[in-house]
Amino acid sequence: MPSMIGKGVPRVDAVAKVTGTAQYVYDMQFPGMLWARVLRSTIAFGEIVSIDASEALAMPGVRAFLTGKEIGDDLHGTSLCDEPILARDIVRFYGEGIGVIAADTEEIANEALKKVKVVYREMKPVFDVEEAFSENPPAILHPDLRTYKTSRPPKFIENRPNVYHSHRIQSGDLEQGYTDSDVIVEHEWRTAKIQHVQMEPHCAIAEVEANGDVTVHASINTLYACKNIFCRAFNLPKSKVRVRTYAVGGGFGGKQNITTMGVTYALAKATGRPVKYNLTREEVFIGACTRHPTVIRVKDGVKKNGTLMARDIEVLLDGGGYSEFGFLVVMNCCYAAIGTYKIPNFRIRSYGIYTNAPICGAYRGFGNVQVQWATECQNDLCAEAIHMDPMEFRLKNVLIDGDRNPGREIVFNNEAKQCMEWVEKGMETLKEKLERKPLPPNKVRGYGVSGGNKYSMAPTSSMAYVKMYEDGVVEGRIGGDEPGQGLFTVCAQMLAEIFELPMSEVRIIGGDTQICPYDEGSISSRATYNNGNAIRLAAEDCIRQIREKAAIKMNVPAEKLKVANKRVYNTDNVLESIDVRDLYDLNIMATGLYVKEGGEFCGKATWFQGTCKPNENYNSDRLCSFYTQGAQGIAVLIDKETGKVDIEGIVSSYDTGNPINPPLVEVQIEGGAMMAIGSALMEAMIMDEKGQTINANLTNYIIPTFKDMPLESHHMTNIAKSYHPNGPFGAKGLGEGTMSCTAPAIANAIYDAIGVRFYDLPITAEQIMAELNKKAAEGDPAKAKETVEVREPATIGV
Amino acid sequence: MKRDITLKINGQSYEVRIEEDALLMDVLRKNLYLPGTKKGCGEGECGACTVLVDGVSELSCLMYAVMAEGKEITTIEGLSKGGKLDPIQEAFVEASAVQCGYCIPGMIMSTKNLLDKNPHPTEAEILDGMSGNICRCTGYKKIVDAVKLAAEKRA
Ligand code: FES
Ligand code: FES
Repeated sequence: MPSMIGKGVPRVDAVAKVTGTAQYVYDMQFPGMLWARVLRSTIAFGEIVSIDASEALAMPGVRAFLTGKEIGDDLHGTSLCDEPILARDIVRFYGEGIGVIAADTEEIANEALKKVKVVYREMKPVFDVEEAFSENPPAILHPDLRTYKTSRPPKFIENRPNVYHSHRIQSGDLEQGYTDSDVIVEHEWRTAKIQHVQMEPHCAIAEVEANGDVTVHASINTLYACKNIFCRAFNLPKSKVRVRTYAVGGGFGGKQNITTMGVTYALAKATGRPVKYNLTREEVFIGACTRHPTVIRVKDGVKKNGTLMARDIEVLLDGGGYSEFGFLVVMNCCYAAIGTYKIPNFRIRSYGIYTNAPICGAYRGFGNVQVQWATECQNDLCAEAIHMDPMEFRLKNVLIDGDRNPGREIVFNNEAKQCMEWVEKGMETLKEKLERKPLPPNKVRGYGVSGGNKYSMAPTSSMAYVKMYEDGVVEGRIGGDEPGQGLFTVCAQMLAEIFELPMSEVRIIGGDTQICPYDEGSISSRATYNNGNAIRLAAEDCIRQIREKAAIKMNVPAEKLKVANKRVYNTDNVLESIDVRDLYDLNIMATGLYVKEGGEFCGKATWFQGTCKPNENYNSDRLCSFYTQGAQGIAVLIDKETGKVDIEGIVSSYDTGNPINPPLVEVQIEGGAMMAIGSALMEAMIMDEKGQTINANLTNYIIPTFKDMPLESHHMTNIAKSYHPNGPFGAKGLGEGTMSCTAPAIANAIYDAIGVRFYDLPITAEQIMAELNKKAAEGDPAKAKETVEVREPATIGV
Repeated sequence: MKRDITLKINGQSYEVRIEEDALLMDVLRKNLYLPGTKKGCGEGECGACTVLVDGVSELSCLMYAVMAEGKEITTIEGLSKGGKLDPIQEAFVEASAVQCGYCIPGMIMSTKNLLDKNPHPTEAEILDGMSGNICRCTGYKKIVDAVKLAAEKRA
């Protein structure tokens, strides 16, 4: 059998998806099913005085209405339990759910919603993250914060009542680092509130049986995390609850909230009918989850020879009304700053902060991408300050195997250098191609580069079952999620490799807590690494059982036997083999086969990835599973009359370990880059002075289309040569890292083109025009560069 | 006001009783259980609901079902014949142009619309012809590959 690893076999779900037969929850309907619609608040902060739904309930076809209080849930959260399914007494952001209606059709439910009367007592909200962070904020969102239940204790900050969690990693001696530096570069960076815009909106259908058993079908990207949080919120035994997913139309970290599950369950319980809730596109923006806007302050110290001596980072994460997965974002964003460069004196501090805005949670990178927006732009500024080429500066400071990173981890399987060198060469090729033609009139071109990484969380665990059927077909069951990244395909490839079978003879079953074992979800780029390892181990267990059985049948010691292509071979005598069917017995009616002793050939396994215990500065030899590494170069073409930025070329190289399916890796890299182009140049949720999001639709919140991509010949993608010693067949993960390089590379390219440094995302055409006009007024030639801020060491932050 | 209408979809006739203002997208998805046509926004911005009406691509979320009466509607369900994929579908599979898949039916219908009119589009014409369809996963590059491959397969 030719190896299945490293092969671009078609996705196992491709045919279903191109024929329109793949099942998505958004499309599903059950007999007798009711439709839910959520009533949403029209104030950003205040008390709910009364809700009157009597007129709505009197409408024909309306079956139930529940307020937040009537849902009957306990506060929930990832670690900090601060969030109700629907607001009860207090509303904390404009658009927060406060009631839910069930009706025979979606249209009736919509009409009925308009008839519900709500009286509020408004309070003064806080929208600005720095104000919210202050010791005397204009509003305290959760006065009872310190009494909430937690499953992992938050690190609060004394006297800062809106901080729901904080984190810090520190090593070396910052002051000494600055003293030893020749130049200090210090800036503040910001990112906007953006949304995942998964093409399938969030949705769920809940059913409650007469005996109280609950089944929820949901479009989510963390099967077990959602089940566990849901069970805890409703105090339901784990054995009574079944959560199912199907094809999931995009996740990107944004389908981990249990709101849709919660409202449909409460209504199904109240009505005795299956209940479905499909979010509208507008609700996806305000009622699901968004990416934390950030304020990031970075102070770097560098030597003239290019050595990065010290880096101090402070991250304010604007978390919105509830912590949700933002609790983990606070911690995880810190790893962005320790993954790629050697920094002997280092500190990063991050704070999750409540504001009266839609909830912020996980978004492709868990805060890492925002932090790298700041640090990778800083790298360019540092290089410029000492007159060094930006890539040379990065290569001078890049971590290589055997180093200790700023978290004091021992670096291994880090191919950042290889990625950077590939991009450096790739950019030369790209330049050569682009500069063959004269520059169009009124346009100016620039090139920018960036490094980037994403750590994958640990300790973490995945489990798997692997079963062989009597026809020799092998099935793997995993609790991992398939929101589109290709997990089921790569796991199937691993099974095919281990059992030496063609792809048609293996399959992966997932998305059902009743029949699939525990997993921690398709988050943190962890799925291939962890599910793959679990599948590998469970397959070995299954093969062990087959060999033991065959050893008796063949009278050959088990260790001499090999399972391949539905047969068991004696490795000492290849001519001696049996069909796996021969391991079964014929039943009495001669209608089927069974295993007479020992049960079915069914392997099971737990894969556990541990860490070394961190000290009080969060230093340890190993803090995570792995780092995805990468580098990217971007060419921009800017129209001097409109400020419009065209992405002319993208050169990407990522280290994802040994790629199991290279085209699936490429498409992730290309997709991550495009999503990041949106975050860099176009995407921002805009709130008015009342806190209402005014562009919660795809007409006014613009995301990249075909028109925003470069020509194919200017779009080069490379997968670095790499092999992770603990990965399944050497594989790591990839999804989130693919967004880490792009925005800084674009900003660096814009600077190269017009000599203007932008500190806030997104960088819009209007902002570019304003800067170009300013320069023209000052009589500044468009290419002249502003001077880098160089200061004496000074303390930043709080 | 309810109305009884007959829709011709993928060569078959369907009789449905619908509201006069029911959208073609909703009738396909909810009344006729043909959910291959996706709803991504319901406001004409994403292209997930693209179908062909008399051979021309239309956003079914912007079209009343009654307007489609007497016309030939083709949805993603009507593309593969007798278990054999259409060359465009084959191309999307082979080019690894599929991730979550939610945008894909609309992409394939737009590809068909494009290639029916222009069997050998240039890259610029592909970007133009497909620009009404949004994909959040793939970054579009492999979809462009798929459209090129589909053009070759149909040649
Ligand atoms: S659903 Fe019709 S364009 Fe989005
Ligand atoms: S494949 Fe997911 S939106 Fe296109």
